[in-house]
Amino acid sequence: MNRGKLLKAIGLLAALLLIPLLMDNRYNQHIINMIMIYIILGMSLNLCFGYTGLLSLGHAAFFGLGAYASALASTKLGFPFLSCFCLAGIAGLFFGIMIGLPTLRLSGPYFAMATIGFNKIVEMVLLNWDEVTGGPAGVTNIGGVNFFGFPLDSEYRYYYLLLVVTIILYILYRNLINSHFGKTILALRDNAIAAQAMGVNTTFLRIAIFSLSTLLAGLAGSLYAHMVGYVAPDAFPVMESITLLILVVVGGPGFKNGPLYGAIIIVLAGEYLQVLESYNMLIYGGALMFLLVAMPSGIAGLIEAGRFRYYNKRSPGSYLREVGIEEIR
Amino acid sequence: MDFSQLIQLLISGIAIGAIYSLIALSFSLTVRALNVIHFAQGDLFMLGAYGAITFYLLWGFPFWLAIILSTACVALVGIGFERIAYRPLWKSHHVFLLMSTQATAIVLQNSVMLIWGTDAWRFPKIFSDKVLDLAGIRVPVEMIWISMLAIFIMIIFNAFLKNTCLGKGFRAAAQDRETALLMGVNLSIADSFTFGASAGLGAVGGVLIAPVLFVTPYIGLIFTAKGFAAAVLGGLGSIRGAIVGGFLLGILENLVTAFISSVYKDALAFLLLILILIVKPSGLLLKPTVSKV
Repeated sequence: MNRGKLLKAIGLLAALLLIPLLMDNRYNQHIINMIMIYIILGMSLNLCFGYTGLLSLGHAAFFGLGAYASALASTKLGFPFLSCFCLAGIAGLFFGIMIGLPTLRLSGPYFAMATIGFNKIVEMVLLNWDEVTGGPAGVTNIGGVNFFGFPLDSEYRYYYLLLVVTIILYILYRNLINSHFGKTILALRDNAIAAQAMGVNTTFLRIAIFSLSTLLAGLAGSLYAHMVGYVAPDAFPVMESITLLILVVVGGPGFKNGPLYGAIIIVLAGEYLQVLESYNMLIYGGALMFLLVAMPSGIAGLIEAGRFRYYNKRSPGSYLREVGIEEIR
Repeated sequence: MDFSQLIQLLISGIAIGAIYSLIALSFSLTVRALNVIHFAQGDLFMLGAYGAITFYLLWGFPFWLAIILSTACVALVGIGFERIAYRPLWKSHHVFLLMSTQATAIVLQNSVMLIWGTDAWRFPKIFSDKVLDLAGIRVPVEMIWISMLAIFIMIIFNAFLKNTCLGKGFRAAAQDRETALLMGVNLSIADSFTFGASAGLGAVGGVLIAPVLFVTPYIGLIFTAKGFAAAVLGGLGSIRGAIVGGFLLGILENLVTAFISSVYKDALAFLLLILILIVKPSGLLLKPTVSKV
């Protein structure tokens, strides 16, 4: 890392650390915290959809399972936050493998259909299995987080936990993408048969990347549960999965910073579009359709193209082709 | 459970299976021709049911006219979405197309909610509300009519594809696009036809099922799942497979409802889907294919 980059990173970190001090009300801070959680969810789905080309229409189910696992471990078993957090990750991983094993042997639409079905089933079970999940009321009074005796009991304090976790996960995610593994999944996305011919174990890789992605979603669920203090089944419907997909597409699927932009836009849109009530989902659906046709590489793609137009050595199209993004357009 | 009850279950399974066959057929059409799974199929089906409500119930048209009109309208909707949302995506990664069809499903579901409201619509019986009694086997006449009509439409459609010049052209386009183009088939029209026909077939199913079901904007997803499971069961992309799969799913569903529980009726489609994917992903009627580069 050169000196300029280091300075930039330190500046960004300082700005992020200062955010709670500048916030004047808790509601705004809550929105910022939600953006953090959606960044983790976005990274999770970007790994699976953007980088590997697996259309998961049920990511909200894994988010919800993580949230419920964490909430139940905290309220019924009295586990401390860290164990709940790990448990949520394990729950995500487990169910990801269970869904991935039968459906990811084949590419294509089977997986999408199975995940949407899984989301429906999870929704039904959370709603109807009263003894464990508490039915429509959900699980309430989830304990706050204690950090070595220092309670993270307000939005402002919880923000620092989210910040640390998000940064750690982001670094791991970035390293994964830059690693050999990351290059392999790109090959898998762009041409599965050619990748197989080069000795890539496609089935194993698909299951691995999907379960890794559901693990991330489970972790995000745990953070969400402990932040809002209660979980209810209506927070994890199929529409939420679609919203997450829109997040990835807006941000730029297959770009590592895509989820950052997407999360900001989706959370803000979710807050400010509430006035439109019943038109909300129609707008989301229409927006998704429009984005896929008009702007398939999202904001990150625009930024990337703009940057290379700025440095204008080559036309942006040839740059995109060179780094292998042309395929996803 | 005696014998006559079993027969009764089989017959009502076949009746509902005819509807599933229609949806499975509409899935198979787009898969065969363009290798696209149209996730909005169930929502087009639901739109067909709402078309029947509008034309027959609200505007008082005769039932046969309501079938034709709502099928035509839904077919136009299907063609419209193909032009606007799918055609620009042919060259991009297939996942984007898949996602675009899901976006269509959302748009359709929410438009229907805004236009017709979220309440369930009860449709009156069209043909008769009598129950036929054949030596202890009780079958509602309505169901017989519905399944006969569905089967009749499938036969007509098959005959159209097999025997007319137009149908042959479309089949040629489905088999080999480039050669069909050289033989003078207009691919643009063929694509539109594929989506229009598949939407129309789904819509017919929706019109036919309206009298036996509460119609709400939420039924789209479950019928997408059932139609897809039926199509995969028979072999995705095979016309005969879709029809067989639909009937099989209808019968299985009725048996599960009778012997196990009606709670799992809707989950059956998904379970069956996963089971087929594990055991024989190519479906019952198709040979396993090897994809080529």
